Amino acid sequence: MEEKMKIKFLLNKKNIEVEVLPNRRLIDFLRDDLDLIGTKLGCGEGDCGACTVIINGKTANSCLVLAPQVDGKEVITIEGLGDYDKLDSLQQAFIDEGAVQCGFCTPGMLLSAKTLLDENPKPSREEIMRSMSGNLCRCTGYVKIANAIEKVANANN
Amino acid sequence: MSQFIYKKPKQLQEAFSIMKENPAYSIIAGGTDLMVKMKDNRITAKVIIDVSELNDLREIKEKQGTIYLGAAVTHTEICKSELLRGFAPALVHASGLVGSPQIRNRGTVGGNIGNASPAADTIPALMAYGAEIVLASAEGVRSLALEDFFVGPGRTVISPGEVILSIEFNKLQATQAVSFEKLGKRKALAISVVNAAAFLEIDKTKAVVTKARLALGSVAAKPIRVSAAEEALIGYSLSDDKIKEVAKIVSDSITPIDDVRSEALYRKRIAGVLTQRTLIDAWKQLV
Ligand SMILES: Cc1cc2nc3c(=O)[nH]c(=O)nc-3n(C[C@H](O)[C@H](O)[C@H](O)COP(=O)(O)OP(=O)(O)OC[C@H]3O[C@@H](n4cnc5c(N)ncnc54)[C@H](O)[C@@H]3O)c2cc1C
Ligand code: FES
Ligand code: FES
Repeated sequence: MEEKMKIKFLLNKKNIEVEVLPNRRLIDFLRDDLDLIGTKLGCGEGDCGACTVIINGKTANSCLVLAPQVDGKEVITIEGLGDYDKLDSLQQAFIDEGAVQCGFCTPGMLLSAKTLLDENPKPSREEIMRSMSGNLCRCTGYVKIANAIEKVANANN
Repeated sequence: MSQFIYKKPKQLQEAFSIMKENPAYSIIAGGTDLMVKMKDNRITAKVIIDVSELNDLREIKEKQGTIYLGAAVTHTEICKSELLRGFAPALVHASGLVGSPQIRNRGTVGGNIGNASPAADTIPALMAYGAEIVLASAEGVRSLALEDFFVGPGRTVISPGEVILSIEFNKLQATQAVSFEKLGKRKALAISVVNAAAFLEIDKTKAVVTKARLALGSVAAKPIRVSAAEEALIGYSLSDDKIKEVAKIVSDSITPIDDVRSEALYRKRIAGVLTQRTLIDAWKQLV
């Protein structure tokens, strides 16, 4: 029964071919099998958004996805957004605006913000607030996060 | 999590064969309901069949005034569909209020129905549109009125070997309107305390109701229609008194429960309030 299956997918722009147990959640697969620990596990039930990743251009709660479900898809995790030498403009804005406190919600927040701006480069404040509605933050009160996203949006022409 | 094999059929027929060979199966679409149950070990299936990429379940189309909505269409796709925005705006509204962007990106209308929660948001909206549900199996297809699909919380009349193929309903005419309202504990990520949808058809010259459907969720063991309240509308214009009378019939005829989200007494009152709001909104769209 415990038979692994082979899946192929694009992870952070790299082709990956791996064996995975069919009952592995995407979050555990990313963190424990692939060592990509930027994605956080909070509630495990779709409520907090700490586990947010991007699948085929759309955000998803990786705690509610089975690893084999990403076979043939494109997945982006926070590790694919930017790195220490070259931060994404959203990451830089989060730092500049003080939008990170404990940081637990930050990877998910950034990926939600990224898909928002990809689809809608000039969102209204209301649209920014809505885009965060699947990501809980216990620290910041959301205002600084919205400010950071707005800053990047304003730099978009 | 329990152990199982995962299968993603490419064709409907292939899905039927997998179901036949593996009676202990569960269907997964977006997984937003199923994965929570699996985490709590409430699913004992040995095979998980992923229907999320079956073409037959992925279409939104219109033919001769009927809208066909594939079961594996996501809430996000419903919200973006020009066809549905134009001809089923109350469904678009209901799907737009489900969970969060992440949940709407994966959660499907077929999953919302298949999960058979009394609080599911698209169900009362679809019931107000007079929707039928189409079930497919190796033997063929059958369709039934959506309200006849549910038995109780999490229980439906679906048979082993069947999948939900689509939901079908007629495009609204100029004399018809639907309105949907939900009350949750907060604006995002809130399962409905009560939800309600109203369908009205009017005779434009006389400005009276000729047909009505009132559907509510989270007020009984399954989503329901309140026929006594529907009948009380026929032949009348929507005066303040009429609205209050109909809302009272709704409050009096439902059987809500106390649970983690709310209490029965509060639900009775809110059901009346949401009935009033949806009736007023549907009426305003018409006169
Ligand atoms: C955090 C969170 C918030 C939520 N908020 C809301 C909300 O506000 N409103 C609301 O209504 N719901 C809400 N839900 C519930 C859920 O997201 C919806 O019901 C969603 O539409 C389920 O679709 P799915 O494709 O993910 O279903 P799945 O989890 O894939 O399936 C659900 C059930 O339906 C069955 N099924 C699915 N597709 C088919 C098919 N084609 N044929 C036969 N059976 C099928 C499955 O076997 C399973 O039993 C929420 C869930 C979470 C986790
Ligand atoms: S861990 Fe996935 S939503 Fe909370
Ligand atoms: S910064 Fe701590 S949860 Fe958001």
